[in-house]
Amino acid sequence: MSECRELERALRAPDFTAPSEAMRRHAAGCPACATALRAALLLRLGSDRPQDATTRPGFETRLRDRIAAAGGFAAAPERSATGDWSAAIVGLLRPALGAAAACALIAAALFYQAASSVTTAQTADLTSILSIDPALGVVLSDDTATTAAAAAGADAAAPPSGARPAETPR
Amino acid sequence: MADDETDAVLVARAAAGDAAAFDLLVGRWKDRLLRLALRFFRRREDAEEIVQEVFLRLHRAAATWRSDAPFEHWLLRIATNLCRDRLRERRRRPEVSLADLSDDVAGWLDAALRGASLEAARAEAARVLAAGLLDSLPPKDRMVLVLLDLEGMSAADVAAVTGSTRAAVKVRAMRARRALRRLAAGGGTGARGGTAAGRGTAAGGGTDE
Repeated sequence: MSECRELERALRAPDFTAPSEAMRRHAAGCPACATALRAALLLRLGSDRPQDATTRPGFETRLRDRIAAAGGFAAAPERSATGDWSAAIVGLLRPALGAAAACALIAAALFYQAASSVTTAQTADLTSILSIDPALGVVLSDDTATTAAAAAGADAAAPPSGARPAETPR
Repeated sequence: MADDETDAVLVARAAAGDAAAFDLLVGRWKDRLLRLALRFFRRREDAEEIVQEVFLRLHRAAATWRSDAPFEHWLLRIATNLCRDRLRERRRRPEVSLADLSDDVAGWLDAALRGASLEAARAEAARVLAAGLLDSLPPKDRMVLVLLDLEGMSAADVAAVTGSTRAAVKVRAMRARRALRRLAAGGGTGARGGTAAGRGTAAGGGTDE
């Protein structure tokens, strides 16, 4: 059994070319190994080639012709003065565009924040006016009698300097 | 340009349009590729055509090579794919029939498969017959056997070259060896009679994938 394994290993070695006498003897008494030996020899016989095979003369020329026919080698791009200027401009433009985008974002954020605070301030002003001026509160509540009384009360109060006195109904 | 530049550097230069770098790659790899192709194609013209096609593809696709994979694997993968495709085409052609071999010729092949030494002309005839028999194997199976047993590559390397996994390579090798033994025993390929070397039609064994 170990001989079978050894033979199998020897047959798979890349440098195996022909069976040794020991392998032949073993194969003569072991049909499975005899078949394995024949298979290994068949593979080698059918795939045999000269160890030192090289391409025929003119191989490179033929290859070069085919490459040329297929479009050849693309020349490496040369750097011109214009190309350098363009590259420099692009090099400067990229960070500038980034900074501009960042500024735009910050401006948008500030604008949004300011708009929110104005709305809050306006609401706060209206509330304070209503608390100071009872007449306005009454006007907004749509109560006529209370409005008149409130107006009278307001007249009784000292008008601010420069303010037009309210007209009394006749 | 120095000849000791690594393949990776040369490929990068070739991809950028450096013809001298490409020529160095050709000089470095052409014989290795030719010897591999000759395993499958006995006519030198056919084998050289494969090698030319490999370099044409290298020229077209040098820019797509990723340096994290060995260049040798990439190049051999192109070569084995081309060989496999050509073997498939050959299998579609009329099959090689060994049924009409004379007893004399069958005897040479039989002797060769017993490891006996033959005179030059008969040895060459035996090689041609053996190659014809191997043509009946599925191309992928034959490829794996040649890379493992004749080229001495590891299962991992064969997996990288054939675009497969190590486990799949081992399974395929096992199946291929079984088919090869049937072929060598003269059975399983439509062989007639018990003459060794598979007298009968050499084609038709296994399935191409």
